[in-house]
Amino acid sequence: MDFAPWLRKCALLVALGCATLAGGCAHRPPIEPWQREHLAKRAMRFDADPVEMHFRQHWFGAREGSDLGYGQPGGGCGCN
Amino acid sequence: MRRPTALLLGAMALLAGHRATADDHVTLRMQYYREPSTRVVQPVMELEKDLPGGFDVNTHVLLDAITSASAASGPAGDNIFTEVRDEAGLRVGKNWSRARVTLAYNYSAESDYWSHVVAGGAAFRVWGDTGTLSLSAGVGYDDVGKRVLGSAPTPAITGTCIPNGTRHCPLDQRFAGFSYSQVLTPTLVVQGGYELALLDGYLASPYRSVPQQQGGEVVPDKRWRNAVAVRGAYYIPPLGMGLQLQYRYYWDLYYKLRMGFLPTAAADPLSTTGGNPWNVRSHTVEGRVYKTVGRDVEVRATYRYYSQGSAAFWCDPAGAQAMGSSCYTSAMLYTTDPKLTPVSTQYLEGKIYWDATRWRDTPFAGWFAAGTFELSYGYYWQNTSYVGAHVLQAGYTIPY
Repeated sequence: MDFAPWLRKCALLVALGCATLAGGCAHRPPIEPWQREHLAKRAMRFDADPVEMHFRQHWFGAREGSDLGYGQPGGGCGCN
Repeated sequence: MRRPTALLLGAMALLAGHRATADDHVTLRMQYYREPSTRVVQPVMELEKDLPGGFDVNTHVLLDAITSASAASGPAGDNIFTEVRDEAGLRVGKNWSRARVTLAYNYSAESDYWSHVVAGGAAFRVWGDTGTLSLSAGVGYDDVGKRVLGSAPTPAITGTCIPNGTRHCPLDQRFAGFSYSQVLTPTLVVQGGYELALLDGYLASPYRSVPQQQGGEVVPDKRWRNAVAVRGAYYIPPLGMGLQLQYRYYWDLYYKLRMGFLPTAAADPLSTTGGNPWNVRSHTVEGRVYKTVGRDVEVRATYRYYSQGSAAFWCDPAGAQAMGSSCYTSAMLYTTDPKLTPVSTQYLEGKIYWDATRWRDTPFAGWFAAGTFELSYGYYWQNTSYVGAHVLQAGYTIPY
């Protein structure tokens, strides 16, 4: 498989993403610091249990043919 | 439960850091997995510590005690055996006001599989700290060996490297991914991301046989795995309840079509997949409900549904020797790996978190009052020969 076209598409997507982010930053954030009390809750974080996630990935990977896509940090953050 | 990529991805999960900054804590967990032919007991200890200068360090050690009744131990007949896998990881993070960078190393060893993983990650908070862009990448170097017991026959695996009692075969891995999460309202967060892994090396099991071919499985030596995932979290303050929903789509392919080991027979059934011997596609949907109960208890219910198509070179026993089957006589790639069949699984779990603050004034137990206990039980339905599994997890996290 020739990687060049695929890499060009990726570069274009990253550029579009950066442009979108830059454009978005020109506006006020959707919420203010004093509205973040719920964001630090366990239910609002996608990575609240990393050790549990590690175990789950191991066992799902041993029993299912797919892998990846179980998420990275992010989600709610109560920090200012 | 040998897992080449899971070690890498697990390292990635631990690598990136689950909070904007670390907080000092120790977590002790015991995880138990039981299905009719396999039992796994896994004690884990994780420690995280803030350091001066915006640095933090996280380390974990775990043991996997795996007991199986399987022919995988080598002899022609089934044999019950217990194997121990040791794993240790170290992650160092550096925080700035809007960014975090991490570097992690993970090592795993068992009697016939050794893995080293180095991974790096970066996260940037943007737009008034309402968005998080996360990037990660890693490399893994594995060695695959083979236990040889008694008069175990060596499967006649063809290819560039065949593990045996004295020879190990390499498996190199490259991983990268990115995700973006955005707080949309005070109670709604969404996230989307893409991850890929390139595997190059020995991807078969030296123990698995394919009766129709009267030998061991023959598996492509390269695999390009991809997954996109979207997820959302929504909180309902009046009910003290949170909802999470996630969808994941996975696909994989052979990434070096021009130079790699590929079937050349024109009549090979793999040609129907455009020369992609993997061609595994899967959908995963998972939902979670969190509910606060009283001052110090939270419960969580999880449901996960997974559906997958088979790999193109899976040898369907029903098709056996029929022309066009994936395991007809002159096929060049074939496997009977249960996880490369059309897999469908469901997982239902209940979990309780308890902040032990009520023990604050209790003698002795007061030592544990600052921590949180966790207990969960789940059942994992599988349509494969593994049938189903009970999953029990218990843990305790204490800040210090």
